[in-house]
This record gives sequence, C-alpha cells and structure tokens, in this order.
Amino acid sequence: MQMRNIRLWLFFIIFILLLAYIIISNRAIFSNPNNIGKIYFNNFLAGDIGYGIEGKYGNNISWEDLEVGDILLGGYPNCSYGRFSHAGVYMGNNLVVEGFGDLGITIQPIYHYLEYSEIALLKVNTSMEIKEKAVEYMVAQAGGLFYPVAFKPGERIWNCSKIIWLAYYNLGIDLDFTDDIWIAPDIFYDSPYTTVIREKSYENS
Amino acid sequence: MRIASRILVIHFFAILAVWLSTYIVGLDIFMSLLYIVVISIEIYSLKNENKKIKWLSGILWLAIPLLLSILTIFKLYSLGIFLLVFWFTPIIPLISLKTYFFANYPLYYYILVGLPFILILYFYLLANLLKKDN
Repeated sequence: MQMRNIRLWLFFIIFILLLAYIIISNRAIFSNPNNIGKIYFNNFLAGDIGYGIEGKYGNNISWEDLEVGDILLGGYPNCSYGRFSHAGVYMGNNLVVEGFGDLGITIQPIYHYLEYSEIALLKVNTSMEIKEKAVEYMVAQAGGLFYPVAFKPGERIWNCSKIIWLAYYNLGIDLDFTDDIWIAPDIFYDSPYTTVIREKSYENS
Repeated sequence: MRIASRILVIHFFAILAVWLSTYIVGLDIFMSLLYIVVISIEIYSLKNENKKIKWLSGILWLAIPLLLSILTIFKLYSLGIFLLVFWFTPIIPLISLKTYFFANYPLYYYILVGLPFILILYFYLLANLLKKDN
C-alpha cells in the first residue's frame, strides 16, 4: 500500500523540488516583471493564447540586404509571448534554417515569412565567418526535436529561438541580454548584437 | 474510478516533473526511464483487477493521444503533433536522443504518431497476458 502511494506522488514531489530549485537558482529573473514566463502568463490571462491568430497576411517585405546568418522574425496578432512568434536564420539561396513543431529543426524556403502580420529582418552584428558557423551548427541539428517550452540548457530539445541563441552563444555572441531561462523571438529584436534591416506591421504593410 | 485514474494522475505529474528536469541536462533521461519503470509497475499491478478497471485505465491514459494521433495521420488537426509532444513529455528526453529525417518529417514525428498504438499493445500485454505468471 505504501509503495502504491509512493508511486502515485513520486513525480509530484520531484516536480515541486525541481520547481523550487529552478526558482531559487534564478531568483533575479523571477523577480523581473518582464521575464518571459510572466509575459506569457499575463497575456494568457488576457486571452492571447499560443502563437496567435495564424493567417496569410501578405506583408510584401523585401529580402534585399539579407546575408547568411541574419535573423528573420515573424509574428501573428494576439501572440502570447510577444510581438513575434517565430524566428529563423537565413542561410542563402532563399532558404531559412528554423524550428517547427511538426518538422523539428528544418530547412525551408523563405517565402512563408510573407504570411506573417509582423515581420522584421535583423542583421547580426558580427563577422561573416561567425555567421556562417552559426548556420552550419543549426543545419547540423536538422531533425532535432522541437518542444515549445524548451529551457536554455541542453542540445537535444529545441524551439525556434533557442537554437538560434545557442548557435551564436557557442561562438561567443550572447543574443540574450536578459539571462532568462527561456528564449523568445522578441529577445533578438531588442538585442544589442542585432540591427533591424527592415520591418513591417500588419497596419502599415 | 480511483484505481483506474492512477495511471493518468501519475502521467500528469510526470509531464510536469520531466519537463522541469530538462533544465538539468542528463537528469531528464533518468526521469524518463523512471517514468517507464513506474508506469510499467502500475500497469502490471492492474493484472488482478477486473476488466472494467483495466479498460478504464487504458482509456484514460491513451484515448487522448490516440485521438490526436489519428487526427494527425489523416491531417485533420494541424496542432495534433504539437499537443502530442506535450502529452508525451515524460518520454520526450528519450525520443530526443536520436535525430533523423525521413520523407520530409523528423524521426520524432513518426514516433509520436505511432506511440499510442505501441502503448496500447504494451498496456494489453502487461495488464493481461502476464496474468497467468502470477
């Protein structure tokens, strides 16, 4: 009988212990009102759930000046974790390396970014050699597992933002200035390592 | 009902625990293996229960992923695989160990879609066929 109870509550107890460990070891982040978890939770309460209202908004942005290693951000209205819901990295020849729920880490044509209501093209301010190596790293992870709420540590479980962050982080470029435990696409937009090449919003596209 | 819902309750707690364990690299693999052991013991312990409890346990644990899997296979629900990833969080660390691309989809896509069917067989074998050994 006792073993049955242990089995029933084992994972709940481990969950509580891990939760306490993560909160205590990241106190500064959890006390920051702009941490991703809080933003997500507040938006969720306001009715914005997941990656927003998907559609074909047709933002007609130009890819001019985009270089290998530059970042593309796309977003739908009512996204719960910021203005942008998706991120990818340009790898040349109109291809983007990125992460999706059903495809994992994958290489896709650039054109689906035209469907977003919000779009921004970001130049990563570093050498071309580093940018090419970052793309190389991402391509090597093709087929990697996509998990929407992937934590920053580890190289087996990804989301679209984490793989970009880690590809550059491994090369000495930390695109996340917040030190949060998660990465969201908006982080890249605000990063001191990036410059906006061009952007469009649904209202003015 | 209490006995039948045990596996589901354990599964939900495991989703939360294994998800947080991915924060500590390596611990997630151990947690996944622990989940398989605990769930297996739990299924095996059903062998002396009546058919109704066995059925109810299996349905509560596997009906949702089975439905999501069927919807995904027939491309009737675009978020199916997204929700399957969450449902199978307890074994995601093990699935993430091998990356491979086949016919436009990654290996984990096929595993997640096929897993409910495999687990039905696993549940049936463990909860029924081993009964005579007792």
